[in-house]
Amino acid sequence: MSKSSAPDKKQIQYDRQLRLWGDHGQNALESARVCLIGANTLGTEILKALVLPGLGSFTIIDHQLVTLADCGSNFFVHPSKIDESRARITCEFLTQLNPDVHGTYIDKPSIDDLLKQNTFNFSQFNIVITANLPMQTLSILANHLWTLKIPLIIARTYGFIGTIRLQVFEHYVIEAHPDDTIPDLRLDRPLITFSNYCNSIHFDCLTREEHLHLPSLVILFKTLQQWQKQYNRNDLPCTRIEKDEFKKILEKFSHHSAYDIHDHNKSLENFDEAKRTIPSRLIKTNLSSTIKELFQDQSCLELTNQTEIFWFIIHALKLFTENEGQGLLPVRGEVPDMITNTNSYVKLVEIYQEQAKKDCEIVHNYLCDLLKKYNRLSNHNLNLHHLVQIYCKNASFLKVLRTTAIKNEDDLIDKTESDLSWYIGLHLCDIFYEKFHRYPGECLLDEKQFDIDLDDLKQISKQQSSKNIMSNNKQDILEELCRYGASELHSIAAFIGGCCAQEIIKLITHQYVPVDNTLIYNGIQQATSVFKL
Amino acid sequence: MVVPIDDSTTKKQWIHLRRILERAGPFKDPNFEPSTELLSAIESVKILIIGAGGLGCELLKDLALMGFCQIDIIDMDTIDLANLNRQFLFTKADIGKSKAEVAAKFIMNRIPNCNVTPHMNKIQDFDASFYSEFRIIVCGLDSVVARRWINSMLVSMLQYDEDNQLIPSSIIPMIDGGTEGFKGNARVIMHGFTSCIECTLDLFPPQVNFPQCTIANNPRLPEHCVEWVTSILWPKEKPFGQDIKIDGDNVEHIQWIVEHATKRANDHNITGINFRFTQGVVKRIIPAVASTNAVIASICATEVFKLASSSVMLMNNYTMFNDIEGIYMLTYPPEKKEDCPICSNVPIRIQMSETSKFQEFIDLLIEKYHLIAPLIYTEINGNSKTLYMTSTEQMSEATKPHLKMTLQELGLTNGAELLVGDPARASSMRVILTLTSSMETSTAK
Repeated sequence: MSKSSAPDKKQIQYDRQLRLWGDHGQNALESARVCLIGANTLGTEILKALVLPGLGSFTIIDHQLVTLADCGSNFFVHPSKIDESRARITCEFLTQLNPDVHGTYIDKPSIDDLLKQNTFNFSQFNIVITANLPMQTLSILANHLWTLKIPLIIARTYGFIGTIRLQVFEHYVIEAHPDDTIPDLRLDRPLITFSNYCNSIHFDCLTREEHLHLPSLVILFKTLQQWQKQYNRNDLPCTRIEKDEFKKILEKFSHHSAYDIHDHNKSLENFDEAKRTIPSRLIKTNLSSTIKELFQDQSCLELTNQTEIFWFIIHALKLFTENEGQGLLPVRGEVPDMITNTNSYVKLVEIYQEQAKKDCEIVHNYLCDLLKKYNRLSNHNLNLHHLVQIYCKNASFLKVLRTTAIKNEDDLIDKTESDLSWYIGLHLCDIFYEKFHRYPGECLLDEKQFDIDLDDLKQISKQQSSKNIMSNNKQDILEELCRYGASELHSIAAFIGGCCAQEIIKLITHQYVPVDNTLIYNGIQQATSVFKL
Repeated sequence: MVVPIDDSTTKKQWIHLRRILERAGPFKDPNFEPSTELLSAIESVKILIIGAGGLGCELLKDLALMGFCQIDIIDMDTIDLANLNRQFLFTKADIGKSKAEVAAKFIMNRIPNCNVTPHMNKIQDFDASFYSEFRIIVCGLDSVVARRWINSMLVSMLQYDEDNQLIPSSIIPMIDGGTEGFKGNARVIMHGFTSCIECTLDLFPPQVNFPQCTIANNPRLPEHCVEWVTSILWPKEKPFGQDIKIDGDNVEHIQWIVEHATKRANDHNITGINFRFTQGVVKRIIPAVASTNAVIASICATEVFKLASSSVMLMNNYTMFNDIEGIYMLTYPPEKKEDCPICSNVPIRIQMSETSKFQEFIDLLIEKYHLIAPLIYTEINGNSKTLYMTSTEQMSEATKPHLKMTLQELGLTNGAELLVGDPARASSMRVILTLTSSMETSTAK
């Protein structure tokens, strides 16, 4: 596509999201296949936020029929479709949202029978989603998917409470897009070309015009050099006194012989910027803790023919860091905007981009050598350069996500953190369901039954707990959960649906950082907590 | 706790809601009374949704499925292709049609007992008599000015008793949501009790503006090159005709800008210009996805449900959401400003020297009260006089001479009351002027 050629229809349609995950992210999304188990309100709200941005395809597994109660919660059914296959109807309505998406459904056998038969191929999916799936079925499925190493997202809504649990064997975050980053400018470990450039500038030889447009980065570096010389140091000023010394030198450099009394009040924007950016520029350059962890990971250290390319690149980065990098990662190459003239800025950008390119090339060579060594070099090398570029640019923020498999969460029972109590409460409701084949408080028409259910629920809690007395908070939570009777409130399902969909997009695109690993949403207080279970 | 007996169809359909409405629980609002009547009460409550875009579509769906059946929706826009990645009530066949009307139609079709009345209008087309019909107003707007306008409209409808105490029943709760990429916020405003939009203007991200000298002389980034074309070259060359302004949706316009911005960029060794980038700068495009809109709208809808039913405590009262890294949500109550020019019911007093120039007064007003294009008038000797107005060329010219005059020369006296209108306000601001003689120090209050 030429620079000025107009976007095609799809690029227009997806324009607003392409600005968040790029064309390559969109391609990943359009090639992805997900499986949803449970075409209830929650399940369909999750799929909605995947279908709209152009997910490749989905398969719904649900053996239930559309009920009247569904029509009071689920957007993807209609009163005229009562008693029809819920999987088929929701599939139809969902694909209407975006005809580019391919949707299929399985309404028999049920998921329980599918799992029993054990012939269904879950490996065709990038991700499996469950929406309010009963605990017993969920355990079997989760175990199966863990063995297959297929990511599973477990979503739940229950009255005003919602939860999301990720079960992921291994996921790589490649482009984290962190919100706030310190630019990689390395004043304490200057690039040689940057040093040389700064050394070619002498304050006493600058014209007034040049002085006014000197980039703040250069100003800071020269001030640093002077401070280091003056105080016989080779590191950064850190104490209050040292920083004051530094600022004094900076102040001295801000004077120019050609400035007269009228200029005295004139604010030197570039020097002001230099002073303002001290906190983010005079920072010790070092390896991020996340990359250090990756370098020490077994998968990086013990490459095999079967290892994922992610680890090969990590290993190549490690080799770079240990050799040409002299303990540091490849230069990121980005220079933030600063108050200066075009030529100076462009020169700085050139310096950093050149270095980034050189560093990237070295990493690429290490990678090729490694792939050759392990017989992994093949015909798709054409994309390696681009891939290495992405990894180098994001090296500080690369991450691996490994969650635990979901297991019997009985050992959480006595934890006291408020929101975790809701999660535990839901678990107790699940035990109730297993016992009585319905949820506590589900039946609205019988007041006595509510009280009996609540008592039974409290009994279950006491049986699980090692404590003799149930806290007031816990009692309140159990009573409130009984009140909900597993009601699916649409707005709560919409919240969890939106969150889940975005987590799934993160997993598919390897962009942005997923939740690690359990989210609890409290719609009463409008609060979320994340737990690593 | 009440035992429901009725099992009509409606009751069966809304069982999920009824469990909450017909039973009490430890987390209910103190005003809550479980009742079988609550469902019908919710069904008949009149709700207004402002905006039928990314948030509006989600809000409409959510409220319809939380039992609300009397919903009005306002939106002056028509449907574009770029809307379809998230505004799901619209299809390709609807492009060009009214958002409000198509959204209403879709919902009434999908949820048959829900009644949605569309208004293809600006919010400014309606007055207090319209807005006072609604019990709760929910906003899914994309402009701060519009938010400030409706905020001031609702405040102007507040009533006070003889002791100047706010009458709570005159409050119309305003629920406001906003999104930007993977970030969003939602809040419940009870004017007079919580902070309002005007109290918290600094919570809104500042407008992106590039310094003129950078654009003209020292471009460094590709956006500087685009701005140069739109603000300097286009007005000079008028490439598509004498009075043709830049239309960010016109492909030819954007292509022309790309071509010339690229030239400028190349001359300065700057890279990064393409169609998508250029259109983004020209239209100040904010990225948007379905998921964030779903989340923020859902929070708003949940709060509307709580307000209408008292079934559970309201959130307190401003939430920020972000799912860039993990999922993060923070809810806190921003401070209500005691001297908020909109919601504090305290008259605005400004003190200036009588020899201050009128321009100074205007500059102060604009800065202090974040005005956009004020209209200032007053009564002098029983006659209404327009002191400042920029909405038409004619009035601009007519009031221009006032700018260099002193307040004294304009005929203003100590204690004079000025009325200040602005696009960000639904009604004029009363400003009481304290004029000090030239002997005293001129300080503005």
